[in-house]
Amino acid sequence: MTDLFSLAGEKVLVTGSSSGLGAAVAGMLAEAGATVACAARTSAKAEAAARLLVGRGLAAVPVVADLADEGQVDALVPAAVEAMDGFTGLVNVAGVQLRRPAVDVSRDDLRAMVHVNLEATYLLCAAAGRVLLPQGRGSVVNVTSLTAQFGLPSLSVYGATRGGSVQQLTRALAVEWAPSGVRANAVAPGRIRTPMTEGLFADDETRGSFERHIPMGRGGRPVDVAAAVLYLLSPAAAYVTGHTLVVDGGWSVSGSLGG
Amino acid sequence: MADPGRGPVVVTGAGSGIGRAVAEAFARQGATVVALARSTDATGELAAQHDSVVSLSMDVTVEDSVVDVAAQVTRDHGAPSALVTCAAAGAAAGPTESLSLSAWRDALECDLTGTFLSNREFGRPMLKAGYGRIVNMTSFHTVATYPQRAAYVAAKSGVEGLVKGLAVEWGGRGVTVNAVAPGPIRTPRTQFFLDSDPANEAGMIGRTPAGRIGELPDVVAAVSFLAGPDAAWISGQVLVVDGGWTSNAWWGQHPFRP
Repeated sequence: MTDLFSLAGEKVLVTGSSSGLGAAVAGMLAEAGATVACAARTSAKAEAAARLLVGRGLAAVPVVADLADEGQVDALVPAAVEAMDGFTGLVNVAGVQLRRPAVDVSRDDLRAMVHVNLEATYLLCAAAGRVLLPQGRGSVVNVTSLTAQFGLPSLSVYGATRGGSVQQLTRALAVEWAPSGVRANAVAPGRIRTPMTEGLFADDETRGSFERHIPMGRGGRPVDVAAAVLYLLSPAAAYVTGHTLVVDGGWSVSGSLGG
Repeated sequence: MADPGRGPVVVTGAGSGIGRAVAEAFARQGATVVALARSTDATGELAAQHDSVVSLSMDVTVEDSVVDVAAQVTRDHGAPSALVTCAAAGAAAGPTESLSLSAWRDALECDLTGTFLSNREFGRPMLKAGYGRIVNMTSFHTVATYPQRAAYVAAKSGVEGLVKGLAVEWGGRGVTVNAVAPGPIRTPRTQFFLDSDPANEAGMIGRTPAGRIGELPDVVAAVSFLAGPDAAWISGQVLVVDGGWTSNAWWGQHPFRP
């Protein structure tokens, strides 16, 4: 039974692995036995992320890509294949969240979110598919967002690019690739305390509001999300594909007024 | 992924199919398993095979039965760490325009009311202990269904409503409540359907992107994840285990199937 959640022998590329959710995902996958290619924007960050895991006796290698740069995106999966001497999985964690009222989103803001949240995610999935489909096995997990299903102020473009688009991309890849034994799933986190959301959590009033609105009474931890990613990548989820697993402490099913 | 330091794992409908597979899997992990079914014929066999399995008779449609068994289990083994509800009535299949009220009530009584009673009675000691994992078995029929399954779909959709209600109500007290919605899984009940016409299996496989019918371990693994300590912040969710069926709107044979 325990082996169902083992990733021994797996070789997984994790984007955004230098901090927050990505770091937690990389750590948990490596602890489950995977070799992890830790991708980050700079070699210093990627090397630090990989070194952290290697220092814990785990298998990790650094790979570098600025996901806003199409050429670097195209080179990332081949680099991971080479660095790990193989490739069986991809976890897209990296994302850009620019909070702007919809009427104030500049073309540069728009492009930044489209390039990283949607284009890079798609390009990396397709590059992964080109390796995994001929192998006849493998798994992709995309981190999306509750904004796939809900509207939140100042997150219109983020929701469209990271939420809705990626969730639908994941579902379509799942159907297209299933006959080749390659699965695609998504994890949609709620409010998780990470460097990206630290500003919100650091404010007592905002944090208090999260705690009142989230039925489980707390914000999420990166490991809460990482556990869901591990499950979806592992043999335990062999028959799960096209699914979006929401990890939100019950937030999205609560209509509570938070009193 | 069971939590060995905590109380027993309670499984309803443990006499056959998914419930039996769940009970066996947790027993193999070394957890204390309370295997519940109306008849102890099959659960008694499980108990004979595994020292850590306790077999008791319980009818989820009888309030006194659920109340008494939950009290006995909590007294003898402590507050449950996990509850997995697999007890289900027959599929109540047939044309809905001639579905009898009693067939409708049988489906609702067992699948929905029985799940409510089980959640209420085994949930209460979990709330008192400040920890619990509830996994209710529903079905991919709540996402996309067949003709002539109206009562079954209504009951299972009701369970998913219960899941949301309890997740919101109990989340702040350490108890998560989720559902696992299996697609076509090879169980004694579906085997009957598959055996009745060879076209049924071909049709199911053709409709499923993964190209195979699900097996019991596929469902057990999802339950094991949601019932384990790592799924700490997942509540109110329906985890669909269907080989991609409900993501797929293609008709007939998959165009990329080798």
